[in-house]
Amino acid sequence: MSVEHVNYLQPKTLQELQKGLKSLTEKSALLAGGTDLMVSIREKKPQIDTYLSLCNINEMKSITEIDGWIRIGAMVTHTEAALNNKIKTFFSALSMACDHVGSPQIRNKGTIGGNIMNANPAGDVLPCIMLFNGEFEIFNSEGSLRRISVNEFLSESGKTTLNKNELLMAIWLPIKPDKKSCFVKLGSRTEVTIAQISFCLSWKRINDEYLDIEAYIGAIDNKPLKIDEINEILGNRPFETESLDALSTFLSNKIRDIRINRKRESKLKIYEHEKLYKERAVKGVVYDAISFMKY
Amino acid sequence: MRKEKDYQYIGKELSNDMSYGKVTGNVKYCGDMQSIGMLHMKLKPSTIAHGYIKNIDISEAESVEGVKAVYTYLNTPDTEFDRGRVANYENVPYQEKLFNRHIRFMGERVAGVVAVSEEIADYACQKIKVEYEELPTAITVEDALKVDAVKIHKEGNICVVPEINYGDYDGCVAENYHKSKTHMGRITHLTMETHASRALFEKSTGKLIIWSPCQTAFGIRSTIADFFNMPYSKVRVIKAVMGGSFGCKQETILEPLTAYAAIHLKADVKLVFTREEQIINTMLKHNADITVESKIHKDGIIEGLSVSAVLDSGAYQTITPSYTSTMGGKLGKVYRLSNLHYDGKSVCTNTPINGSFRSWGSCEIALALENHLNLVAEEMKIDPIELRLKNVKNEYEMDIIKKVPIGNAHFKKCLIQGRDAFEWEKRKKECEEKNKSVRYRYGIGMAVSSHTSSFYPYMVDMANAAIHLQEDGSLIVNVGIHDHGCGTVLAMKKIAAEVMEMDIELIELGEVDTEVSLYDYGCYASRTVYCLGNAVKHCCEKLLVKARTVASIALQCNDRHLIYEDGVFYKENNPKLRIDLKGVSKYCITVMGEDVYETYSYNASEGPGVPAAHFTEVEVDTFTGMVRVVDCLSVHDIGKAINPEICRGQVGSGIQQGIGIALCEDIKIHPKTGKTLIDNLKNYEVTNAFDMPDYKTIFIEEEEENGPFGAKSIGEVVVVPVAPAIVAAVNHALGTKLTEAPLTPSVILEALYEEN
Amino acid sequence: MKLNFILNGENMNIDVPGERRLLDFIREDLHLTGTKEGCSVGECGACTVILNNKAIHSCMTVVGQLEGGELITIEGLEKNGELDAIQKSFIKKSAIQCGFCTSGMVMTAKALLFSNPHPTDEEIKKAISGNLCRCSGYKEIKESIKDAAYNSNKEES
Repeated sequence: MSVEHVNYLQPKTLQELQKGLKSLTEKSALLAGGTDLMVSIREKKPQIDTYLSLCNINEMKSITEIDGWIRIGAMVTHTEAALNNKIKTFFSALSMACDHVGSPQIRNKGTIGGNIMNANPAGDVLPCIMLFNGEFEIFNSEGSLRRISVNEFLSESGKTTLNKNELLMAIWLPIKPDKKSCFVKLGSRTEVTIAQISFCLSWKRINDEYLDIEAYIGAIDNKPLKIDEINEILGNRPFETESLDALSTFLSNKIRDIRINRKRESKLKIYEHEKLYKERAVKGVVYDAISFMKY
Repeated sequence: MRKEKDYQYIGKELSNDMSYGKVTGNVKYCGDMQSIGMLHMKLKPSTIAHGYIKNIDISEAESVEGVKAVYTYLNTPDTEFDRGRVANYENVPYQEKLFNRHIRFMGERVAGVVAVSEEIADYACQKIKVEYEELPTAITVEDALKVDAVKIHKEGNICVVPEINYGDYDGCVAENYHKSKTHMGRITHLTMETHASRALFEKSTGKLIIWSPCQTAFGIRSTIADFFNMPYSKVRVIKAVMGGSFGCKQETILEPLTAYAAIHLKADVKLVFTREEQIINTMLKHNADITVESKIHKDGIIEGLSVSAVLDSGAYQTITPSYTSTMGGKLGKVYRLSNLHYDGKSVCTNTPINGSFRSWGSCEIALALENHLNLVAEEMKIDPIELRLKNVKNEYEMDIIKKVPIGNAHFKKCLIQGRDAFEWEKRKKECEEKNKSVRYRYGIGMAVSSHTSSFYPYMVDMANAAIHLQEDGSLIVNVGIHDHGCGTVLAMKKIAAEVMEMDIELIELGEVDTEVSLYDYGCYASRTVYCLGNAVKHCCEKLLVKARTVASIALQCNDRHLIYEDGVFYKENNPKLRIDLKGVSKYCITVMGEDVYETYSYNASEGPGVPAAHFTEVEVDTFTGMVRVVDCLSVHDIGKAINPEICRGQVGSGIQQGIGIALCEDIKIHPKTGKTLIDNLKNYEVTNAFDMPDYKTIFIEEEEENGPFGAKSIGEVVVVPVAPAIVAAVNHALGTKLTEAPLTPSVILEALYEEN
Repeated sequence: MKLNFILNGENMNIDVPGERRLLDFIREDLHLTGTKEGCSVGECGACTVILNNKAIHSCMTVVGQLEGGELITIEGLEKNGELDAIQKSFIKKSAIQCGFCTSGMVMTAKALLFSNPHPTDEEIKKAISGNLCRCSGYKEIKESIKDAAYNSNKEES
């Protein structure tokens, strides 16, 4: 008996990619940057029959502006996304999120697509994509491309709906030049930290009025949640203590409800005060996020 | 001897020993060692916290291509050993075996595979099938202390250490009585280099050679040789370059395994632990609950102190009874006490083993005692620094427990200089101002503590040096040193170079190789610079005496008429008559028929204290519970900083670990399952370069007269006062009386919610 | 898998399983043990190498991902017996204690100076936020990087 043989495929063209996708089984792994996959392989030690490495597919590595949209290839790294001028200008929440994923080394290798496909509830990228009403470009083993909305991409449980022979090629974000955005993450330390709560916000500012405020909160449930009520709660006075506290209380209650209804116990939280932490600490996230609207 | 103003090396900035090799990646740590035919070992961990192995099937693992052996309790000796034992006369618990049938914590090794590669060994480990018969567990100390708790060892779960009593605590009287209880969690030492060991059975000689990054090569040799019934002279232990220790590499953990495989297979076997294995299968810093009671006069003078400590030893007692006992001994080092009581227990639980941590108990005692005194200061409305000034020892006063003077130790100077440099009063006022804001609260805190510079009088502290002048005038120094990476080899070289007045580049000083080094108990208790440094210094002086004698014969004059300067002896009234060290060697060998070398055994008859104070300011975000250290200052009475820059680096490391103990490092064990929940660095959010605060250091250098060039120690004490200072600062900021560590954000918010 | 890449300035043509972990390939196949394994999950930075001018974790990279690229390990910094500016500064500023984090730190610093020759203190802090050192408070390391940046720029001007 010896260590089982593994296939390693690293296609260069879409044709080769298609062929590779066709050959994948339930035991196969898509290799984007590798920063999540390598950890998972080490922890779970799954039997992998084929690796399909995406690092040579040029169509997945570019950031381009097309017809009022930005197309971000799934293999764009966090560093590339964080530094890209178009993303910084039109989608600063995404740029901010990418600038704080893991450490610099992780950001240099980890990809937007990989982060999304990993579908970790504490993932920093997905809430931003949802905030911007992004769409997902999917490639399959028949060679066809389709674009789907977030709702079609994500299941109720927060996992992706793609099957083993499909692949996320790119993310499309519609440009809305008059909308600004920001991203805030609460972790256990400032840099290189997993989100306890993530929060992304977009707004339109006309003179001193703040309109069309949208927000998503992440890492509190199995997928990011839209805060529909935000405009109503913040009203016309988003920076006043009353508004901020009202929003904090609203979100705190939401987090508490999720906690109470949760069926699965959190693996790492053993003390009661740890379980209550998010609903207590969300106030800090709210204050920090809303303060960005001043700029 | 050179005067201080002429020192070329002592107190001067020089890069660490082996810097070139380390910065180019050329230095080989144990895990880097490679050889043709080397075999690799991997261990299989248990999946239960307590029970027996009912059945273990290794047949599939054995059939994997490339596997050379699979070991379990069924095919290895039943002999017990103790990881904490250094010398064969020591009285230790002897509870460990190579492989046990009785499994006592989740993650304990149940089998080992040796194969041609790590990958194959790991793969084969997965093919081993184990069935367990589970037993009830005692995961927490509380569980283990219950009357009907399951017995983890046949001798029971509890080891009570001898009490310490001085004066009469129960009978003494003072106006105020205070009580506090401090809880401290577990942390991992997080040395960047995980544990590793290599053992080679030398077929040509029948010798066993072991490489290990360790603090006691002689200790490892004693344990291994006795275990395998081999003469000590046939077991050679070589200290490998160490990537940090902080105490976790001072015990004999991996070596018995690699030694066994090497002897059994007559091979070269290496075992390198993963980060998970280092966390779960070596040792963690103890979690402890320490109660402090005090009787204090209304003017703040301490009349009596009573301390009661309960330490969790993890699944095996190993060094914990000794550690618990030693903790009590620390109580005599800092404060003047007329009445003192100490009692301690070491309790076994079904959790990973706890073991040696930097300062061996000083940290734990300081956290409890300084927490207590800071709370007392607050209650009695006395400034915490004033409270300390009233009670700390003066120089040369007696350590009432060890019954030796503390030496030229300046507690008051540390406190006063620190208070002034940190602008304590000014910051207090500024905090009051800043605390008018809603979200952020600011507080300051301080703590003072000490440690030791030798084993004396706990045990005889002997260090031996042998110094050999080479024929070209260069020097080889043999001293039983184990450098943790903290610059002690450099310190020894500097001492030798300064005494010999020669170029430091001409001095070779290797670390311990039991085959050639003189005996050394081990590099702990911060004894290296003080004791080994003294041995080197005195030995060099002795060598110079010999060289002077040879020079006087060679130059045909009275040795009193010779001046020695920068490696040359010359006649004081005729400098042209001279001989250098190369000439001395030649003359001695060719004319006198002798080699030029000396040996020296240094015996410490002091254990000079090293007062250390830490001052810190914190900012607490009352919305998120995050605590940020804004600024801090460490003051150290070091005697003499031989390597000032490296010492400053050490201060930084102490602050990093102190912040970890106080705020953010916590190896959580599930209280029901015994699973180590934090088994790698994800979710163990140690303070990194971004969050590390700015810090300042003050070294008080009032030479300790018996220290080499006045030096004492610093390597362990750097961490001791940091955590209690931070806890005090948080309490100051929030008006709370928290006494647990770590004060994670969720703990802070819990405290704030309770207040409201 | 047949691979073509540049290692420390030299062309490499090898045949190795594409899924082999880069860290193992460097240490075991190439016998370049300067790159260290500290945690294996991309949290400590000890395994940092430079790929296409960017600092990455070799513990989270597979050999296949080297294709057509340029890899630099710690062994590749010293050229013709002359240490890199960063290496010199680390020695000069006493930034080396146990040394285990050193090669990762130096490589991260090198990558930083590739893209940002004049980093501010904040940028230096952020750049090494993924490299852990337990023997210090990072002060000497930050000063070394600053010193190296200063000296490199001085040389160039």
